[in-house]
Amino acid sequence: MNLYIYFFCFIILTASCKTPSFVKIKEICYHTGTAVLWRNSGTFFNQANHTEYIYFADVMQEKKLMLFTLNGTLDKEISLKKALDWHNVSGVIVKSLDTIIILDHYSLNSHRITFTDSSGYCWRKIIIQQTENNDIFQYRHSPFGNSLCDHSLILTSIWFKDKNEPQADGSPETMQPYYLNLYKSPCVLLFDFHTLKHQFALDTMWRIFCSDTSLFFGTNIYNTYENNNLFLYTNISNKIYVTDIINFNIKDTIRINSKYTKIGINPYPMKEYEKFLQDYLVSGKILNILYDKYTRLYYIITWHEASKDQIPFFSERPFSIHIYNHRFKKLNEHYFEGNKYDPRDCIVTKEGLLIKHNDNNKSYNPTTIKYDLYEIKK
Amino acid sequence: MIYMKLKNNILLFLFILSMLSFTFCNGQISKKIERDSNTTTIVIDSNYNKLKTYLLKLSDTLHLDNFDAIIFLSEIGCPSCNKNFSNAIAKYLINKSNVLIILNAKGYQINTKPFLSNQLTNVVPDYGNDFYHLHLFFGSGIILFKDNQIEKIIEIKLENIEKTIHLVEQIGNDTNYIK
Repeated sequence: MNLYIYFFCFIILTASCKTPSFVKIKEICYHTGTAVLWRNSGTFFNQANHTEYIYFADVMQEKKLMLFTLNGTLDKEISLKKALDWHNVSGVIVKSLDTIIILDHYSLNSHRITFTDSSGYCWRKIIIQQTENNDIFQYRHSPFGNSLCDHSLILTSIWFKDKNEPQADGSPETMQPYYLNLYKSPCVLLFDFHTLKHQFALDTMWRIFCSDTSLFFGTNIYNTYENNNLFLYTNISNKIYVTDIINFNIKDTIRINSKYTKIGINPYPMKEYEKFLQDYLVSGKILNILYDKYTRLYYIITWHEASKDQIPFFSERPFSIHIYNHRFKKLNEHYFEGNKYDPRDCIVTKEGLLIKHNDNNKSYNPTTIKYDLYEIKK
Repeated sequence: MIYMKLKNNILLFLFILSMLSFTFCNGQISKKIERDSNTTTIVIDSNYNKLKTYLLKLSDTLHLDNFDAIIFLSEIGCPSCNKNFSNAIAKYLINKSNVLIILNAKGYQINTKPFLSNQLTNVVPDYGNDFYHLHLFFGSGIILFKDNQIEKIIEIKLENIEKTIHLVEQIGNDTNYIK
C-alpha cells in the first residue's frame, strides 16, 4: 500500500515540475529611424518612475540615445554628439539617466570610456592606453565582447608581443611561437575606473581549455559578466567556466550539450592552424549568456553547425537557447529555425525575452527595429 | 589492270587520309571553340545573365543594359573601407543615370542616410543576401560593363581602397576612367 502512495506522490511531483519553455507573445516595433547594432542597445530600469526602458544608441547618423517603453513608445532622446567625438564605438551601456557609458576605441591598444548625463554633457573620460604586464609583455584588448561590472570594465586580453622582441610577421615560423606565448598569458584585463588601476587575470585559462601545448585552438577566450559571475568560453569547447572577479577562482563548469548540433571545433596541430580558421566559419558555438533576473534563469545561446559546402550567413543559421536554472542545472533547449532571427541581439526584459528579427530580408525597413517577445512558461 | 588497282588504292588512301585529316582538324576546331567558350564567352555571359535576372527580380524596371557600372554597398568586410567607399559614392555617384547603386548596408557601420531619400533615381535597396548567391564577390564592390558584357569586377579590400575611390571619382566625373 505504501508503495502505491509513494508512486502516486512521485507522479504528482513529476507532473507539477514542468520544464520551462519559450512561448511567443507578440511582435514589438521600435521606430528608431535607423539600424542599431546589438552592442548599442539594452535595457535600463529608471528608479525615479519604476519603469523599465529599452534603449537604442544611434551612433552613426543622428548621434543620440533613444529610450523606448517596452511596448515601443519613444519616451526620451538624449544627444550623444559631445560624447561621440572619437572613433569606433564598441558599446553603449545605460546605468542611469546620468550615467550613460560609451565605450569606444582607436585601435586594439587604445580604448576610451566616456560618461555622459541626460543633458548630453560628458562628465568623465578615461583613456586606457597600452597596458603592460610586468613591464615585459605588451597586450592588445579586443573592443568587442567586453563586459561591465559595478565599477570595472572586463576587457578580453590578447598577448601581443614581448616588449624587446620584434612582432610576429604572420608567417607560420613566427606565428607558432606567438600562439605558444599567447596560451601562457592572461586572457582578461580588469580595469577599475574608480582607482584607474588595471589587473591582468586568468593566465592558466588557455591550458584549462586545452592542455596539449602542440595544438592550435583559436585566439580568443570570450567573457560575459552576468549576475556577479564571469563566464569564460571558447570556440573549441562546449564548456563554460564560471569564475568570480575577485580571486578568479573557477567555481563551476557548465557543459552545453545540444540535441541538434555539435558545439565546438576540434583543435588542430599548430602547423595546420589555418584549417581551424576554416572550421570556425561553420562550427556550432556558444554565442552569448544572459541572466533573467525576473525568472532567475540563465539563457545560453548557441549557433548550430552548418555545412562547409554552402557557408551560410550568420543570420541564416538555426540556433538554440538553452535554459538553465540559477544553479546551472539544464532545464530545456529551445530550437529556433534559421533566417528568422538574429540571436546576437536578445534582450531580457521583465515581460520576457526580446529576440530581434533577421535584417537580411527583402521586407527589411531601415527605420524600424523589430523584435519578437517570448515569455517563459513553466 | 594493275594500274587501275593501284589508282583505286591511291584514291582510297587519299580518301581515308582526307577523312582522317578532316576528322582530326574538325576535332581540333570543335575543341578550340569549346575551350574558348568555356574560358571566355560562356562564363561572362552567364554572369551577365545572372546579374540581369537578379536585377529584374529587384525591380522590373531595372535593365542591366542601361548601366555602365553597378556599385554594391554592404557592411561586410573591412569596416573603414566600406565607410570610405560609401562616402565617395555619396559624393560622386548619387543620381548618375548610368550607374546603379545597390544598397545592402543597413546603417550599422556606415551612414546610409544619403542613400535613403525618395528623390534618388539610381539607388535600389537589396537587404537580402541574394546578391551573394551570384558568387561575384563578397562584401562591397564595383562591376563595370562594356558592350553588354562584364568587363571588370572589383571587390573592395584594404589593398585597393584608395585606387577604387579614385575610380569612383572618375566615374562620377565622367572622365575616361582606366578600367
